[in-house]
Amino acid sequence: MPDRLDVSHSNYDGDGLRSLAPPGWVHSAVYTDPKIFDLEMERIFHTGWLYIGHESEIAKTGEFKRRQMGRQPVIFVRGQDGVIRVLLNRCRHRGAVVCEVDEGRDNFFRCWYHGWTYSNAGELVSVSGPEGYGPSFDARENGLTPVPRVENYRGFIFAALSENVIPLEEYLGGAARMIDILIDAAPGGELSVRAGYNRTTYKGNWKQVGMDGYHPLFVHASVLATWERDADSGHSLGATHSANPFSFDGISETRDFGHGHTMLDFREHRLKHGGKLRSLLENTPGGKDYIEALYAEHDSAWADLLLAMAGDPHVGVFPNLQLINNQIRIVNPVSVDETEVVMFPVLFARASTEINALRLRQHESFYGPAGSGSSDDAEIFERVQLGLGANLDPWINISRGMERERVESDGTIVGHISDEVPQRAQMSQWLAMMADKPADGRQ
Amino acid sequence: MSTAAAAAADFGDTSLFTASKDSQAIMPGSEFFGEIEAFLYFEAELMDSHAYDSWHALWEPGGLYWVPCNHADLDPNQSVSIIYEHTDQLGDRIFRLKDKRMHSQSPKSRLIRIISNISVTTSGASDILVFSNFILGEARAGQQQSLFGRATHRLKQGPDGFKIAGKKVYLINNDAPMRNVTFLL
Repeated sequence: MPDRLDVSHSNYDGDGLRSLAPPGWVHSAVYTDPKIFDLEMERIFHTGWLYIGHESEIAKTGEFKRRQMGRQPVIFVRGQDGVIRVLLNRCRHRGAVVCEVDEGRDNFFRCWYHGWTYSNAGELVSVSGPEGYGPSFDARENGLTPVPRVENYRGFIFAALSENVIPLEEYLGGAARMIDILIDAAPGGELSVRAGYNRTTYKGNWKQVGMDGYHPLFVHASVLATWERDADSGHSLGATHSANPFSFDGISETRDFGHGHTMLDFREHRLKHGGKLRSLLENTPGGKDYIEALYAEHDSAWADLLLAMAGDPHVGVFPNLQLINNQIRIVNPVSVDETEVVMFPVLFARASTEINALRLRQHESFYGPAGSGSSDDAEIFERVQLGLGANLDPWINISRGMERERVESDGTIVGHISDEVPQRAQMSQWLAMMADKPADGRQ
Repeated sequence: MSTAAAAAADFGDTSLFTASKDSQAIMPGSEFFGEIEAFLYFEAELMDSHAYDSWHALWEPGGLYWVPCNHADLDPNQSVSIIYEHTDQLGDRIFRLKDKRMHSQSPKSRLIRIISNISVTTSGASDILVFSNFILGEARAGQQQSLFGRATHRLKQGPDGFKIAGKKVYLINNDAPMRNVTFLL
């Protein structure tokens, strides 16, 4: 263990930040110090790529959703011109939010403070009492501020508040092919993210919502007991987890794709044990058509994998997106010790009502504020946040598997499912964004 | 075949919570109204005191326990709920609540609920629809939260009293970030 590091007077320069994360360790200040949180907002959430939403959420012109990019409230909207934009939710006049509801469909956003009105493409279309502004006032320069970078990976919309980010596909790297496991599991590649969401909150740091294959046997022991009692429990969510993929002598893996993107990789395990899911589908109305569609659209090896994985890549895209089981999950940091997690169940636009209802029921059984899994996760995250208060011994140990991980030819780091490869990946990207001199020359 | 696909047939059976056209209001103060009121207080006491098996025993087999999400009323076939369970899945919830490894209830929540604004309609002798409002206070691990909601009970009157054929719980904050609600609602 490194020596105790008293950070109470640290100014967190590059070296100071690096000293908080020596290989295999994290200082608890990374999870508890509001000064670190402020730096994370600027250097991670107000700079790099963030997942905003799926294009199907705003399939129709004028549809909009409120989203959050760090501390910036934004509007995710499809304009009358059909273009998807991400706009700061702030009137260009005196700063009030112009969109006061979570979602809807409208032609205009109006600020009800003084009546300035914007189109759903963000243009300023009306100023009350325009004669009060001189000839130099140009409405075209006073539209809602667009977020500078918006890119689309197969329907997944990401945005960045800095111009100077690498292209999205380069950022996603090897994680993109894993996102395909969800997209391609939908016939025609057509996802429908219009089934609402569960919003949960816990009093703990946002980085705790990582990808962790070491915890289920303990945190989710009561759920695993229900699956052992009855394999159909939880609407057979356990069908994708049959034969304990988390066992210490099992073949599941953890992966680090770079840029902090990680995966609990159940591919080999599920290909070996995936028969049960297939029979569940075959016995669900529309299931045979669904299976046929997968094999018609994809080569049989990929279709085999899609079916075994049930559209669940179990992948995390740094810093705020996870694709786990039937859901897209957004992680919103609220403060150093408060986090909001929004879970969007994903339906397949061209699958039967019964298959989609089954996806919803599976999701609800484990996730959301009353689900069997999320609630125990939230409880443990709160226990961690409390425990980290004991910072006379400030070090968190994330070294598990360091001596047995391997590196593949493309640079992907691979470990056992129970190894802390994802935790180290997260900290590595954290350090790169927080402490290293960024490419665009910011300090 | 698995219970999941079997249950799929009655997904979306939310007509349970709508009064039929021929239903009649039961007047407050009547003996029957008093019996319903007493049943709601009894159920509340079982939930507040974590009497899981006794509460589960109030249910009619196949009954539907529904806590919608984001709105008061949605098609659960197309929209996510907070809880959408028939009594077999409810059995899993009870099983876990009694398991010491359900961390979110270790320690247990201390609960008090106040039930009011009760209205009752019936259609025939055994088909009863009850609306009530509630305030539920939870204290746990040094924190406190208040939940406000409206419950709809579909009750059947049988030889050994009322049974719950359906219960819908609309929480008014169901579109907001929520802390755990792993106790009985």
